[in-house]
Amino acid sequence: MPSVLAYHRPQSLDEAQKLASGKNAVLIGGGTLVIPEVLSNPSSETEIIDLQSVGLTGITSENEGNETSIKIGAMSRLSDLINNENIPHLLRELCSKELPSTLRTQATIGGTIAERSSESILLSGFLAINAEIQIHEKNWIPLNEYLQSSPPTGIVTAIKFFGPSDEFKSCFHSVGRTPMDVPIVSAVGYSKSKGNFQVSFTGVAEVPTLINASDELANLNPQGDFRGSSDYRKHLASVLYTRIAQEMQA
Amino acid sequence: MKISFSLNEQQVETDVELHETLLQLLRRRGMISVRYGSDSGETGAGAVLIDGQLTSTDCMLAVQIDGHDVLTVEWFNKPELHPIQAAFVATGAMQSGYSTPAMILGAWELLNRNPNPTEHEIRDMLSGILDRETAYVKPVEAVMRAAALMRGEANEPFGPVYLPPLTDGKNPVDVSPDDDAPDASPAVPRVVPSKDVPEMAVVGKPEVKVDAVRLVKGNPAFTDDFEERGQLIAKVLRSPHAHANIIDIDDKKAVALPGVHAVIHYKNTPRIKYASGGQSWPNPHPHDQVSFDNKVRHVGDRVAAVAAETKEIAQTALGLIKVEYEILPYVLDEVETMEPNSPVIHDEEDTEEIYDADKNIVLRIEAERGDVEKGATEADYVFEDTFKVHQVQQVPIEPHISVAWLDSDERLVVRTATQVPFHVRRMLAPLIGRDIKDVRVIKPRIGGGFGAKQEMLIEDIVAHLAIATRRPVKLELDRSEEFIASRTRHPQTLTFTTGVEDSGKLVSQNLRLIGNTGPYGTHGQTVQTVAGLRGLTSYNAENKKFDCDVVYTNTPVAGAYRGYGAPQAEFALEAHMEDIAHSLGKDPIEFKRQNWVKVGDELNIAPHLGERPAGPDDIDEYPRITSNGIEECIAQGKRSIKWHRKDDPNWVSPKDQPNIRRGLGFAFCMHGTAIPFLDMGGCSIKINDDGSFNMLVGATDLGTGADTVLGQIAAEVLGVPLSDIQVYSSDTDVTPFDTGAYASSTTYISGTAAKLAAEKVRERIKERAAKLLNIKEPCSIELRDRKAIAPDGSSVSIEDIAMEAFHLEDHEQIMGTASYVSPECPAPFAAQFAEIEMDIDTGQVTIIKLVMAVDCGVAINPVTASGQVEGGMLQALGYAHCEEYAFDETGKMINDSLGPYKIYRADEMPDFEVFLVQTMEDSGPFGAKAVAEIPKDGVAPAIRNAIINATGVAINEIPFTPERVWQKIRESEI
Ligand SMILES: Cc1cc2nc3c(=O)[nH]c(=O)nc-3n(C[C@H](O)[C@H](O)[C@H](O)COP(=O)(O)OP(=O)(O)OC[C@H]3O[C@@H](n4cnc5c(N)ncnc54)[C@H](O)[C@@H]3O)c2cc1C
Ligand code: FES
Repeated sequence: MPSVLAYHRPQSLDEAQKLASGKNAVLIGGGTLVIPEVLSNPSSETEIIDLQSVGLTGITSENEGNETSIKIGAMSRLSDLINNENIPHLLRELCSKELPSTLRTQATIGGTIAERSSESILLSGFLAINAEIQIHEKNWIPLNEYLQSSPPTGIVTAIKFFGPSDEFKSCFHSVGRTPMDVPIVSAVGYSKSKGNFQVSFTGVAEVPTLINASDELANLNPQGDFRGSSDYRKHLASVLYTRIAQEMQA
Repeated sequence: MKISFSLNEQQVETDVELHETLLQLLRRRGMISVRYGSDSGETGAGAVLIDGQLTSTDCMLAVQIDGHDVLTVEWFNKPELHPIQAAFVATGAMQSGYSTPAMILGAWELLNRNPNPTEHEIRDMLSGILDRETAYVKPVEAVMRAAALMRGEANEPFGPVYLPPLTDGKNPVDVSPDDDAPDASPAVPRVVPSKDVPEMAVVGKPEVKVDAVRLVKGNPAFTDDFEERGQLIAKVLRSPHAHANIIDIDDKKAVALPGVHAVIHYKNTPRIKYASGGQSWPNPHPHDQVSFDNKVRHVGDRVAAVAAETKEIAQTALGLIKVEYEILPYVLDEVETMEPNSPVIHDEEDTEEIYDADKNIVLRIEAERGDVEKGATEADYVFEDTFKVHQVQQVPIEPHISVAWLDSDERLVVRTATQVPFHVRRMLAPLIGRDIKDVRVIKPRIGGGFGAKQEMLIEDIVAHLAIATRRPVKLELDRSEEFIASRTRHPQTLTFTTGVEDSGKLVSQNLRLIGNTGPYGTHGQTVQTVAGLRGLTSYNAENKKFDCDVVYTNTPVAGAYRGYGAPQAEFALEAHMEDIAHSLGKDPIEFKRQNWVKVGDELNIAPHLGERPAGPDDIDEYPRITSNGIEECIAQGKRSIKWHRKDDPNWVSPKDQPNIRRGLGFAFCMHGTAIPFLDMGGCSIKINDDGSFNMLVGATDLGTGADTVLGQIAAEVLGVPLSDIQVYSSDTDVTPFDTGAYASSTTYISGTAAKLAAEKVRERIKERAAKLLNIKEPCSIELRDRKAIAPDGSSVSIEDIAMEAFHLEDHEQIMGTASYVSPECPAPFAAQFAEIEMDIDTGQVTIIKLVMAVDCGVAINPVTASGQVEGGMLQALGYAHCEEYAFDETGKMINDSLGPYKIYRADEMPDFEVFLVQTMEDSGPFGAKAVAEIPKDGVAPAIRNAIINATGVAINEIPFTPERVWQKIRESEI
């Protein structure tokens, strides 16, 4: 019988951390991915650790030197970002595109990060703007480092990035079956200052992937599926990269 | 575990199971407006407001809600409607209404936050609530109008705009580029009236749906909204293999699991052959199914079923059933399956009338008129093109669901989401060893069907289990089962060979078709026959031939899907005709016009194609086209889509966007209305004390508005408003027989039955009125405004006539029953236009606008009729553009959930515009023809032809997904 052996709602991060080390423990943010998976598996035995009361909500801005750092608590819902004026426009748009109305009110930023989905355009957006994440009791690390290493354990507590500067430029391009379909390949371009830009892709590797120069495209070896073969995905990456390069250099 | 939360502003403390979802908890507590559509949040049918925000409830545990606030539509429900509910009612914003409560909650939240939302914001709010019926057109309008009302602004009453005709009804006209279509909200049907159609009181009016209030309030309406005491839950064990023999089943452990009441499979159910397609008796052969077989023929095929106290116990029991399989090779492709080394899918001895079991050919269909070979030799040109169309699913948001129990007389009762209750009763009885009289089938409201529910799909399972356990048993499919174990559209390979004279006249047309029915025949014959009909009757040619093999494969089973074989055939036909026109250097519309059927033309091959085809010498007179409004449809459509742009190179290839191409495309569409001499409808009407009427129909309203339309027809005859007709459908113990909702038959067939029954009642009312008014000739009396009115102006109310009949003189129940089967099948026509934009570097095609102008005779209700066209175009758009089954190397479908299987949502829809061009079809009730299926026919070819306009590239395979289009562009080196 698909069995949820226990449900915990820890009141602090330390308590959550302790519970999370249990044998059958599974953390949930919103649970949009975990809950259907647990319930569809007749042989699962799970202890759910719900992070809703550990105090990881809130979106704050701080001045660091002459830049503004924006920090988002891991239990913020995607809808919280959409409704927050301090969040850069592109990220808010990516939140709207990532999930439809009925799920973005439940899914969390922490869950999105920990899931490391290769198709997450929101994660790709964070990656393009050099976001850093924090895991409980650990230092901030660049999101790119987190995504490129093997899946780490621990509770994601927050993500932060620098707000847009004067010369900042960003854009989003994607190819999908329909306008709001999960893109086959998508690309977020980001330029902090004129002359430099980087592009973050979905759909070309196991996790969202950062490309800094066009020759790196040749190293991609995407997995194909019925929506797009490996070769086609590579072709799309190259088309989207060229478009973004033109836009960034314009 | 105990939780406490606020439900509709009442604090609730309750125990929940840890594995219980919020959806289950809310339904358990009577919030039945919260509807099941999926288990992972994809459909939004069960969305509610949590802490004021619209949120899915199916991917959330009930315990997560501890300490939070939940609002459901039940919270709104007062005797009067909330302005949002009223706006949904007024605009006809729901068809089945299954997901309407979620939409209303979302609208309420949005309007609280933003009293003046843009269309984009409304569509964004609706993005999580999938709808297969309204195409979101009227829900968006409803929210706009509710917003205005809540801001204190007045709304104009919602109804059609009436447009002056652009043509004389027969001859084409040039539409000037400067002539703009009138501006109106996209939700508003544009009606082009015909002078042949008289003004009527109820028919032709945008009457509110008879069940609208029930649906906007989320009141009990659907199968799962009613619960029998002591109900068990059933689950089905399904095959993980595409093709395998079952060597043995060991159910001991499952049977021993506490809470399990029955386990059934091939060893303990009778082996009685049947065909599951919900069709008239005798069901077409072969009867190649049994309830549980010792062979599985597709991934998802039935292996065993369990009835248990809870879903979780049933699911666990499935895992305890030990099945020993002998895995066999499998085949998915309809051409490959006929090859010599392909596995034989039906090797059993006891299936009769398979045409050639060794070659997996279920049946051959052949029909010819004239001599196609001779015609082709005599033609100046012969063109041949092959097309491939794929497998898609109906995706009703309410999955298949049935509940069966033994009533106090020990008769078997099945409440089921079906389009064909009478067929189900007849087909089910022998499988469970009962007489028809011992079976009762009740069809409540259905949350969408589109053909998937024109099948006896799961009723036999719940019946077997209810008999075995003597308890009520419910089975509801989950979303994955809907994909792999329900029904789909038939994939086909179609080759048209057409002989053409120099003048452009067609002389011969041959359609070779291979139809893939999956591993069971069910609708194989009918669907392929309709493909032949639709492929070969749209254009005149003296010589025509249909040559078809229906074949078995190991894909999920194909069946009926709105339009039957027409969308497949018309894609191929309209593509083929377009390409011929281009090859001959002719304008495609001109070339098609030269050849399409016009009023008076013979449908020369039609009677030889059908469930009961006529032999070559059986026909004295061939059916002819009796009404055709295509020229007006084309003129309205051209004006709306701005057809002249297709010839403007600066529009097609915008200079500032070198990777973009634009295009416009057209498709001529023709459909049928019911199956002549076969589809039958019945209706019975009785008067009540107050002069109102009860109307019992066997017809099944799938959300199409059939109950409303049938009520309107009766109201028109009886001279009363629609609100005086109480429509009830359908229950095999109570309502008259009806073949069911399919083949575009309800308005035409059941509508005529309703008209005839109402006319019988009207005669009795007139006779009694004549007596009361001292008039000699009852026929001179008219029924109008709830009164019987004599030529001299004297009158008596229908209420007084009823009272007199019941309580004073010559006591009688005034009532009438009638049935109807039609000798004819009048064709609706339509012009489908598409505007697209494509990126030639990536192959991505974006659909900008779809316009359909339909001649459906007289639209009995223009709002529900335009809703049918919108919903049909939405599904046709998915067929053309993004929906498809994908399989892995074991033959398993890999995209069996919504998302990977992509259906359009509200925030990505192209613009839609619908025109209803009236013609008077004398054979239909008040001039009506069909409207529900024709919108499925033209979208794919119109988009294809628009791609040709944009790039010159012709693509003969759908859907137009980016990589497929990109490959074709590369091959043609544009
Ligand atoms: C219908 C549907 C459509 C979807 N569409 C898309 C899509 O288009 N594109 C896309 O990329 N994704 C999509 N998703 C996935 C979506 O991104 C995730 O559902 C969501 O972002 C995860 O958030 P959550 O809080 O609900 O995660 P949960 O389900 O709660 O958790 C997800 C994972 O993260 C872990 N986790 C959660 N919080 C933390 C934390 N703070 N620290 C460490 N680990 C944690 C969990 O243990 C689990 O492994 C879709 C999901 C659904 C159900
Ligand atoms: S009303 Fe939309 S799914 Fe039925």
